[in-house]
Amino acid sequence: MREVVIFGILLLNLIVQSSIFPFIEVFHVKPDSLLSLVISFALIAGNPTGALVGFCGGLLQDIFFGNNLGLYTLQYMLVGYLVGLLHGKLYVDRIFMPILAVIPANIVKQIIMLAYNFFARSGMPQEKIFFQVFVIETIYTIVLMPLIFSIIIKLYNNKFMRKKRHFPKI
Amino acid sequence: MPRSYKNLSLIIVIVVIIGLIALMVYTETGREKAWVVENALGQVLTPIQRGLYSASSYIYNLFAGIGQRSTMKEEYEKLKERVAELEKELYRLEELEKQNERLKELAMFLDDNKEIVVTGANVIGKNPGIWFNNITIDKGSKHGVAVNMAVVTNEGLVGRVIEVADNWSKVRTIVDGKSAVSGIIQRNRDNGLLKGNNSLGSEDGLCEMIYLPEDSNVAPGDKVLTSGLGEIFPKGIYIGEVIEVTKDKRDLYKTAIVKPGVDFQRLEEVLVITNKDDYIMK
Repeated sequence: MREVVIFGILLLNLIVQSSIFPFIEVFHVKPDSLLSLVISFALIAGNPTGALVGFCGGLLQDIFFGNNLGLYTLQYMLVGYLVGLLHGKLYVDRIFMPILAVIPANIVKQIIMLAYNFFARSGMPQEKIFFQVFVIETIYTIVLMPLIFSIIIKLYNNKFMRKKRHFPKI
Repeated sequence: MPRSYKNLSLIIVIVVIIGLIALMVYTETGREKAWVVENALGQVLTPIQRGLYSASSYIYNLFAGIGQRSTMKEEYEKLKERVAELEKELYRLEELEKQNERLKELAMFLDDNKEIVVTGANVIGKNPGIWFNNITIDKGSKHGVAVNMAVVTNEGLVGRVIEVADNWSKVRTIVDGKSAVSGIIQRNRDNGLLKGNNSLGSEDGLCEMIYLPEDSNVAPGDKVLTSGLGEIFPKGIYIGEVIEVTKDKRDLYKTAIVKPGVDFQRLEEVLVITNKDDYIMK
């Protein structure tokens, strides 16, 4: 049930991102709601949920909109995993922590994108523009963050979402 | 969190990262055929993708429609303005054409009666109200206009100048109650006096031709011209047409209601003419 709900949320996010967000873009930059979702799940449920949500959400983006398979998957999975490591170590309030997490998360995302740009010589925008994109996207995502975080918190107040899942012990 | 679990998860993540990088490299280079795994994934996800795509495009169109509607509204406003501009231009051109026609007719009239025409003039003022008694023209003593000169158009007699300033003059029209013009029925040469009847308050814009002989056979349709008596108006200026003949039992004369040839409601350009002995209008 939990997996289905999360996957449904990711699909819904994909629809919203690809259909509604083009109309609210600022300087061609849209808010990254998938990043907000991955951070939210990682902060609330920790790993492996954070990493898995990042993996699945990124893979969906790769399949439907990516140039290759793996770039978005890598970005979001890594973000999910790294933010998930903080789970249980920090007090997570409803606004401040999620917003604060957006900045390093976006830095990780952009570093992977820069590395891809460097190695693949894809002719994508240069570093200067990357910085601009980073600033606007971070601000835009921060604006969106409290809303998405409070939605995921409410979701986790339901019983079916609280079932713990661990990697099997060897 | 148990240490072994933490290490294990890190190992898994690193393995997955390496796998993903390998996948990226593999799928980055152009493949003519979709990879088997991708193909299989595509097989499973294609229905979802199709649904997603139609849902996305539906929402996209919904929003795009709103965007388009706003630009359509803008365009509509622009086009509306353009239409208004063009309509204005059209009215102006129509106006010029009409003026051109009027002036042409007036010019022909002027050519025919060069000897007596003092000046052409524009009507610049009318008495307020539906019908007016006096009009103001934009030519005055500087242009040779003098009191008692006749004012005409190619359609007929307008009136006479009653007051002259340097640059403008006041003209009493023939439909004014105070106006009196000596007229003659063109067909049977009966003389009468044309008086404006607007002061009567009914049948506005018409003249009464009084003092027609009792035995006159004047009939509706007869043309009325100036007779030249009184030496104000040249002989032979067209005034109008008889539309009705009446006779009171007590009166010793007949009265004809005359409809002036000039349309006083649409009076714009006029000619001021002077009288000359024995001059007959052409």
